[in-house]
Amino acid sequence: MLMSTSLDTHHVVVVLGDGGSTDKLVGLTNEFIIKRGVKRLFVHVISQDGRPKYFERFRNVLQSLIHCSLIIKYEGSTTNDFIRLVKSTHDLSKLVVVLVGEPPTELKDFLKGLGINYISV
Amino acid sequence: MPDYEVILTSDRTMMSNHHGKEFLGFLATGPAINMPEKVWMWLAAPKLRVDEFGRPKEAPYGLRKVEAKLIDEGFKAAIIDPDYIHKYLNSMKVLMVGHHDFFAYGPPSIGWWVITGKEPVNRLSLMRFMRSEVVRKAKERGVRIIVGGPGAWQWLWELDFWRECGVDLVIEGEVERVIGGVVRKALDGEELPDYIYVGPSDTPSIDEIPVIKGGSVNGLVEIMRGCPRGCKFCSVTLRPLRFIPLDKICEEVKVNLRAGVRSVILHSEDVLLYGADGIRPKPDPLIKLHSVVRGLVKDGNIAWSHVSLSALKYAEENYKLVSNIVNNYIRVGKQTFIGVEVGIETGSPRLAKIIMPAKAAPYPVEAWPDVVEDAFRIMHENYIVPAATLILGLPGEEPDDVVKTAELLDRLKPYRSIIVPMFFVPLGALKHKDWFRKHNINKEHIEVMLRTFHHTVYWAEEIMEKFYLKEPYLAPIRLGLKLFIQYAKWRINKLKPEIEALIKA
Ligand code: SF4
Repeated sequence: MLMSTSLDTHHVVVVLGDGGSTDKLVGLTNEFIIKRGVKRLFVHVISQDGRPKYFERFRNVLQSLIHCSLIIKYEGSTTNDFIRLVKSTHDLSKLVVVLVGEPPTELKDFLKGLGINYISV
Repeated sequence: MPDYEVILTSDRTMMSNHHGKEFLGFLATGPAINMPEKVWMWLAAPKLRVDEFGRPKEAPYGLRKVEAKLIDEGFKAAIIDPDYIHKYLNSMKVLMVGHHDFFAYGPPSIGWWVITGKEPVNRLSLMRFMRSEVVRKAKERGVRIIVGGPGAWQWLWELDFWRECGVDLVIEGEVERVIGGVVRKALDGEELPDYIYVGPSDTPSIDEIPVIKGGSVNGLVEIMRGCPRGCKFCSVTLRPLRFIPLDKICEEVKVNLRAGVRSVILHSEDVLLYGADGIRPKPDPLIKLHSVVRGLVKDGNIAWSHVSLSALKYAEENYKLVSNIVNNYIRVGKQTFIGVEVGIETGSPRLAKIIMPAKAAPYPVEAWPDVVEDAFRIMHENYIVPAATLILGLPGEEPDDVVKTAELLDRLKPYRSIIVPMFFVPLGALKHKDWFRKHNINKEHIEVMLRTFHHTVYWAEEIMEKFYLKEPYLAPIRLGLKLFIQYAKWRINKLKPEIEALIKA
């Protein structure tokens, strides 16, 4: 999608569960951008809030990220949507998954099964 | 009838030339005061001239850039006046709506909103347009809706409305490099992301910035992008500084002349930094720019969009550059003055140090009030009429900072200018309707607002009579504004005892 084909686009999947702190997500994302010298960030969002309501918890993250290009895309609300998204990712080693709040247990199990590390905030 | 697939447009407050007087556009950032909204809208944003296909002779510059980029990349795209979009319901596949202040969350709109408690007309007009039958019908037919421009972020705060309108994508930033790809995907029915912010690394180079294909509102022509002052949280300053070459500027002036727009607004965050060495203006590029533009527009007016007060003082004191340009290239023929927006923001060096440490450069930030006064004097002597902004309620502001601003206003009394106070309003504050009155306004703020009111009213009458609206065809506008000023004076006088009590409290 758009800039996502370029090699220096970093992909992050954010799962917005119940609770959790998006403020921490701001700090974390900024750290990630600076550490890796990210120029383009593609954020895939899984949330039960639906589209575009998920931005309500997410907009403060966006407004603090003015140093790199951002693409935000809603990918669905269920564990299956998440699994479909992860399965379509070619290079799992580069995938960064952030779980905001409490995600369903099966989602964590799925990630563990694939050996994908995730960050919880 | 052309079969445009991509239609670019906006609501009436954007699609207007404000009677050829850019400053009148500011009226659209407030609610209608003491008159019906229709009359207010006519004062602020009259309809544009269009051709037989609904294509306006002048259109917002940002939309013109996107239109040009899409045409260059082979798309069937055009800017269409909002009243004529229905003609394209059969051919349109993508509807692009641009705005710099979609929901009146930007300054000064949000300030007027919290002060008056009434929604500004720009917000009402945009929402009316997005809810119009033609937009609804377009959506029903599967047209993809893309909204963008400097005010695009505001959609993040209007999520119910976003869903109601069926907006597919919100896009923000300098989009030249990416917009073709986005529109291609929209036309091909591919999935779009919800939000794109084009960051500094994807900013277009000079070669990627196209020349506009049709007239821009009041002849606005961009002369540079970026800003070297490095204020915190400002995305403009993160982008590389790019000077638009003179030949491109000339081409755009010629496009405007062909469209019948005989004036020029040279646009930049700081016009006097065109071709500059960092934050120090250089005479050669500026003189060349003005001489070439004057050579093209002959008897038309030349205006500047923004200048910084420090660059203006530096240019005059070191090279007599301001007077040189004004006397030789601006105040020639029928033109008697030049209008420009400037930012004072605060009269407090302490606060300036925190929010805009490089605003006074190359002068020390401690000298900010002196820089402001010197620049105002230079402008007064050279028939430059500034519309200046002040920001009240900034985070970290203390009462003494506001007192310093009030003192600076006293020093500016002798200089012809309009000064507009704006309130820094954190988003979300609008949920609390009494936010302004109960929590954030103090007696120092009232004092500053009163002083700006008296200053502006005093000078506005002279500016209208002698400079800004003196043409006979503008007599009805002049009359409307005079009535408005009389009403505002009467209202303030009536409120005087209450205000005095508040200040004493
Ligand atoms: S002067 Fe204006 S444009 Fe320049 S960095 Fe500061 S806020 Fe941004």
